[in-house]
Amino acid sequence: MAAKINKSLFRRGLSLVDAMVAIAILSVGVMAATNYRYYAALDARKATVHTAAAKIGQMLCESWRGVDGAETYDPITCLGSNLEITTSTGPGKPEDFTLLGSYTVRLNGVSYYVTMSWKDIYSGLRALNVVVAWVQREQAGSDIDDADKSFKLTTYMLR
Amino acid sequence: MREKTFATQCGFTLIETMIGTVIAGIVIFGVGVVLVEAPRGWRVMYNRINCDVVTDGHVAAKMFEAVVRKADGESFLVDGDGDWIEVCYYESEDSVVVDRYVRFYETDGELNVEYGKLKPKQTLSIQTVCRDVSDCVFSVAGRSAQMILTLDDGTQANTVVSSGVMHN
Repeated sequence: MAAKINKSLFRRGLSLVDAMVAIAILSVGVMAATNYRYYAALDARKATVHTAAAKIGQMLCESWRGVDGAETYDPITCLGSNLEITTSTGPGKPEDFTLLGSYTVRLNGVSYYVTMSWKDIYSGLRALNVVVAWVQREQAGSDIDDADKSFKLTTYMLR
Repeated sequence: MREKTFATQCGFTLIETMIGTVIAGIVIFGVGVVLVEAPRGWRVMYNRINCDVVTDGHVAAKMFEAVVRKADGESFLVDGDGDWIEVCYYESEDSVVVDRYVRFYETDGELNVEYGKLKPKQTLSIQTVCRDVSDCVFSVAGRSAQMILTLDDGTQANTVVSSGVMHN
C-alpha cells in the first residue's frame, strides 16, 4: 500500500518543454492547413481568370471571323457598348502577322491585354490570331509589362 | 519518512505556470479561430467555383454557342438595344428551307430560350436557361452573334462572354 502511494506521488507530469514541443507540432499542422486553403483559393482564381481569358479570345476571334476577317474590323465598335474595351498596348503578335490592334478588356475586375493580328496564308485562306495576356496576381498599377500568363488562339478562314 | 517525500516533490513554479498559461491561451485562441473560419472559408471557396452564378453562366454560354453555330447566317433578327436575338436553323437534313427559330431573351431576371416553327410562326416550347440575370446583351457582327451575360445572386457577380459563327 505504501509503495503504491509513493508511485502516485512521484509520477512525472508534463514539463514546459514537453508542452512547447506539442504546441510547435500543432502549429505546424495548423500552418499546413492554412497554406493548403490559401493555395486552393489562389488556384481556383487562376483557373477562373484563365477560363475568362480563353472566352474573350474566342469571342474576339469569332466576331472577327463573322465579318470575314476584314482588316477594318474594330472590336470597340462591335462590342464596346456592351463590354469594357479600350485601345492600349498589348502583348506581342506572332512573326509575319499584320497587326490589327491592341486592346484592354476589363471583365469581372480583371484586365486582359489583347493583340489581334492576321496573315494571308495564301489567296483565299486567312489566319486570324488573338493573343490574350493577363497578370495572375493583379495589383493596383499593374499593366501589360506585369503580364505573366497568356492565351493564344489562331483560326483559319476561307475568304 | 513521509515528510521527506513531500519535500523532494518536483512541481511547477508560479512563473512556469503563468508562461504556460499565456502560451496555451495564444495557441488555443489561434486554433479556435482557424477551426471557426475553416468551414466559412471552405464554403466561400466552394461557392466561388461551383455556385449557380458561375455554373449557370457557363451553361448559358455553351447553349448559346451551340445554337448559334447551327444557325443560318442569312436569317436572324437582333433587337436594336440588344435585349433579344432570334436565329433560324434547319430542323433536319431533309429540310430545304430554314423552318425553325430560336429566340434568346431576358425577362424578370431569367434568361429564356424559345423554340418555335416558322411559316406559320408558332411557339413550340420555352425553357429557362438561368436565373439571377442582372444584364444580358446580344449583338451581331456579320455572321457571328455575341452574348454578354451578367449573373448576380446578391453575394457574387459573374460576367461571361460567348460568341458563335452562324455556319449554315
